[in-house]
Amino acid sequence: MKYYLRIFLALINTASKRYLEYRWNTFGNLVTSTLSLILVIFFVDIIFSQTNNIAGWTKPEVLFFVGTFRVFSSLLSFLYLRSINFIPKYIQRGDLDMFLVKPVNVQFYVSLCFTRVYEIINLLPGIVLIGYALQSLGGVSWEGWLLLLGGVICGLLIFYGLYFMCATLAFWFVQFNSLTSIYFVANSFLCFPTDVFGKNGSLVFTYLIPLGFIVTVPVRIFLAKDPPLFLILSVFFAALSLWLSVKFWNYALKHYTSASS
Amino acid sequence: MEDPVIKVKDLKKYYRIHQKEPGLAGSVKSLFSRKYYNVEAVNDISFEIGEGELVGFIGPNGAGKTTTLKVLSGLLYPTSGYVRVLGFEPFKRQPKFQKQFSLVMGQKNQLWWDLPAWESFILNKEIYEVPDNQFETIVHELSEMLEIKDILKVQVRKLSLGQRMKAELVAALLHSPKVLFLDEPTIGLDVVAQKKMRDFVKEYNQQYKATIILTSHYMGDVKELCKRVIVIDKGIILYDGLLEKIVEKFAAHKVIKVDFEKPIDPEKLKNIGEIKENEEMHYLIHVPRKEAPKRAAKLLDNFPVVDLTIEEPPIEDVIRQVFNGGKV
Repeated sequence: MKYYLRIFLALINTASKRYLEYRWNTFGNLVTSTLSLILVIFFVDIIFSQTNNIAGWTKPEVLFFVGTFRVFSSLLSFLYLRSINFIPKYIQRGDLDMFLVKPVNVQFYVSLCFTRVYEIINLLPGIVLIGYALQSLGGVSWEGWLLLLGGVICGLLIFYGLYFMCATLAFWFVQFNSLTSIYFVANSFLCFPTDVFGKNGSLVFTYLIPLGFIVTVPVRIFLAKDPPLFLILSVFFAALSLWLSVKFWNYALKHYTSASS
Repeated sequence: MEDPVIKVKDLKKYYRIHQKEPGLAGSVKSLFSRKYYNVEAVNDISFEIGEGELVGFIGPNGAGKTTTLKVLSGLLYPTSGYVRVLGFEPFKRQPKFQKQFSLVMGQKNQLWWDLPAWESFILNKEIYEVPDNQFETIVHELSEMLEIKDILKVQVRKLSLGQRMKAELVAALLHSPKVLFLDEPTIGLDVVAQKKMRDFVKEYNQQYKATIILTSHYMGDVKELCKRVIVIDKGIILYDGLLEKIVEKFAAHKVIKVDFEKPIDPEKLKNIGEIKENEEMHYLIHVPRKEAPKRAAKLLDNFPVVDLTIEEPPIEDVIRQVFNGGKV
């Protein structure tokens, strides 16, 4: 455990140094992410100029959701998004060999070797939006925050497992450029509460493909739309998703013959 | 004798590969039904390597050299056979085993492309749990030996191929591996860099008593470094033994170099042997190995010879011929 914490820190260290080699990117990123957030806020504004309730969500609730989603997605970009996007490339070029000979858990290593520390900056717009939404929503207890935090952490794990399994498919596809498209599709599902897909859609995206547990359920618990006990389901799905990703990865590795040089 | 560091017995590794008919139609067809066939990358090989040995693996492209190294490194699961490296089964990929060997591939890099090599070293230090003081000493020693002290803080992508390869070597040796697999470490390097690399491998082998397998298709590498070679082609071991003995085994001829006093009519030399070079007064003649002394005597008796030597054919030629399937 301590060993992996040390490696994680070392990886963050190298990844940030690498990033500083191209430091102008950081500002570009903050600008684009802020702009896109402003766009979403306009969008929400326009919708709620016609109605004051969508699928049971009021405007401040939706804004709070959007803020939380932003926090979630910048954490995901910070932690593992880029690393996972690289996995098909390692497989295609046979670079995975260089990881496989190392005395380290390879899934851990390939999942975290490209952390993006600067994404932490992108938490800012999300947090500001959450703060803004809270002014209309009123005060919340610290238990509420704790539940939300726990829910988002589970959400990160659920998404990790699902996305990592998609990337693992590259062992069979070899050429797998559509991985990032999968992310964008998933993202467009995640950026609104699952309730907007209607009752059936919501059920499908909550229990069949547990996308709903990633952001919607944590926010619903926070807003007291769902009972706090739902967090147990979150934990269950997180564990399941993580476990499946490990199983699938190990299965794929057995079949890996590596691109010959 | 002690237990060998590397022991391979009856190792087979087959790949399953699908065939595609040419053209677009063939491509579409292969989406739905594929014909598979087995490629016998390594077909029943056995060998043992003792501690501190530096063994050369030679063979043309696709001979099975890299496949063998990958099996020994635990990257490929053998189709059948017995493989032990330092007493471990490589494909179990136990960290305890992985901390004791290293794989360097000339065509793949483990250094982070857009960072100085130094950063990759630090990462490896954490992964291999190399103690601080040991890390300092080793980096210092190795970079001194390879003369790359001043480029460790430069982004890897800005280095020349030769410098990068040297840095790759340091990264691979930080944890002082007992066993080292070098797959084409000199590929693409210029003559000077090749020489440096060879000197280093030799020195490293002697100084650290590491067991090393080196593959290369530059005979120069092998000739200079390895006493023992394993010649492999089409997944089969053609020869395993001392490099100098390979000529005796495979070359059916010797080379007579002869200088004459005055120009000689080549027709007259036909019954001596096969004329390979002919520059009026200087001839290179291939003669059957056992006949060499007799033929030389015949030359001396019947022609105005100034100088005459009997030599073994160059090892490069012998091996090339072995791969071409013919006798020399």
